[in-house]
Amino acid sequence: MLFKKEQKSVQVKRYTHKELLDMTDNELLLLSAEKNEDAFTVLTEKYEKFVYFAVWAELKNEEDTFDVSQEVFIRLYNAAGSFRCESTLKTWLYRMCKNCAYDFMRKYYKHKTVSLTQNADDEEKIEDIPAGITPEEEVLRSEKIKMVHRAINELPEEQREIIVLRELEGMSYTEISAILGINEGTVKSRISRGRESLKKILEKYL
Amino acid sequence: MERTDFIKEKIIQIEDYDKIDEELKNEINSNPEYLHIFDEYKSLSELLRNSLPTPVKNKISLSDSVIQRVRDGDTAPKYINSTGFRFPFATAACLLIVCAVLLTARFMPEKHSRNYDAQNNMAAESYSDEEVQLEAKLVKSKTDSSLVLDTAEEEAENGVANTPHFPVQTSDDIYYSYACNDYKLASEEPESGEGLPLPQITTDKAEKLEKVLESFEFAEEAEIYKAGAPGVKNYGFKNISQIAVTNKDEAEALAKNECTIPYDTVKTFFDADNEIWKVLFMTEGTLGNCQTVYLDKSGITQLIVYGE
Repeated sequence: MLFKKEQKSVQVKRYTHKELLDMTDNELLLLSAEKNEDAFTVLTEKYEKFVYFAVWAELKNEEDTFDVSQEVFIRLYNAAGSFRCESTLKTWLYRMCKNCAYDFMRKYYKHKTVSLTQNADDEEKIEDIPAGITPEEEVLRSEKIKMVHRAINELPEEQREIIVLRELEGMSYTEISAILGINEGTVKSRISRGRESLKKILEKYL
Repeated sequence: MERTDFIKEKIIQIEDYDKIDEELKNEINSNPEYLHIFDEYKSLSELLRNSLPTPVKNKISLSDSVIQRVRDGDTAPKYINSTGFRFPFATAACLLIVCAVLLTARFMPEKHSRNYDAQNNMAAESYSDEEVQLEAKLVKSKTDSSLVLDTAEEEAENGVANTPHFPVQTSDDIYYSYACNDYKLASEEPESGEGLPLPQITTDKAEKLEKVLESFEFAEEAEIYKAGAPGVKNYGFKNISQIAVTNKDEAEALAKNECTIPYDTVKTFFDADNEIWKVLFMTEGTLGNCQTVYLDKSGITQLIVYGE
C-alpha cells in the first residue's frame, strides 16, 4: 500500500509596511515569534535607540554597546514567543538590556579597564564632518560630547539610568516609573538630583 | 527664600523644557532669577540631547545589523551566552571545603573512640591491624596500676615510639604524655568539667608527676621575684578563672595565654608541695628572650617573670 505524504503549504500572510507600523507591540511580537522578519524589522527600528541607550548607560562604551544591543535583539527574536504580555514590551526589553549588559560585563570586563572616553569611532567621526563645520569646530564639538558622556558616566547608577531614559530616550516620567518599578515621585526626585549633579560635573569640565 | 527653593526644585524637575505648564511659565517669567535657572537647565537638557551616541557601527545601523543577522540565520548568542550553563566554580570550591571539613569531623572522633576503646581494655584481637593491636596492648598496660616507667620500658621494647599510628612522635613526648594522661584517661572522668568540682591531684599522683617533670621550689622563686622587681608581673593576668590543670599539656596551654609574643621552646616544672606549675617559654639561640609563667593547680596565674 502506498501512502502519499500530504504536504501542507503554510500560508504566510504578507503585511504591508504601513500595516505593520500600525500594529501594537504585542501583535508585532506575535508575528516575530512566527519568524516574520518584516514584523521584527519594525520592532527593531522602533526600539533601536531605546535598547542602545539602555545598554550604553551600563557599559559606557559605544563599541561594546553596539554588540550587546545586537544581542538583546537576537535574544528578543529567539524569545518572542515566551513574552507573556504581563508587562509592556518596553519594560521587558529594558530588563533584557540590563541583563545582557551585566552578562557582558561579567564576561569581558573582569580584567578589562574601560576608559570613560573610549570611542573607537572617533577618527571616523572626524572624517565625516558635516558640511558647513570647520575641522576645528568639529574637534571642539567632539570634545564637548566626550565631556558630556564622561559626566553622565560619573553619575551614580540610579541617577544615570533615569537621566539616560529621560534626556536621551525622551521617556515620560510615567513611562520611567513603570519601567523601573518606582513611583513618579521617586522618578522626579532622582531626576532632580541627577540634573543637579550633572550640572555640577559639567561646570567642572566645560 | 523658601519659595525660591520650591520654584528651583520645580524647574529642575520639569519633565520637558519645551512643554511647561502656563502657571509655572508665568512664575518663571516674573522673576529674572527663576528665568536664569530655567535657562541653565534647559540648555543642559539640550546639551544632553545633542550629545547622543548614535547606534551605528562601521556605517551600519543597529537595526540593519540585527536584521542582517536574522536573515543570515545567525541567531545564536554571539557575545554573551547567558542562557548556557555556567559551572559555578566558586560554589563548587565552597562545597569541596565544606565536604573536607565534614569528613575531617567525621573521621577524627572515630580515631579517638578507637583509642578510647583500646584504653578500656577491649580485646586487642578484635583489631586486624597490627599497629592497632600494639597500641591497644600498650594502652592497656598504661591503664593498669603499674608504674609509668614500666609502661615506658614496654614502649621502648615494642618500638611503639617509632610507629606512625601514634600522633605523639618522639619517645620523650610519649613518655610525658603517658605519665600525665594517666589521670585524664580514667574511666570515671566526666566528659565535661564545667560546673563540676575540680579534680584533685593526690599526693600519689603529684609524686608521679615529679618523676616525669623537673621540680622546683615556688616559695624560693617567689622570694626572689618580689612585686616591683624588674620583669616581675603579679597582677593583670589572663588566667583568672578556675580550670583544672592535671598535666603538663594543660599547664602549657594555659600558660601560653599569658604570652604576648611567640616562643619556640617550652619547658615545664612542677612543685609537688605547693602544687604549682612553672612553664618556661624561650626562644632558642637568643639571649634573655624568655618568660616564665607560674600557675596553681586550678589554672590561675600566680606570677609572671620576663627575661627580656
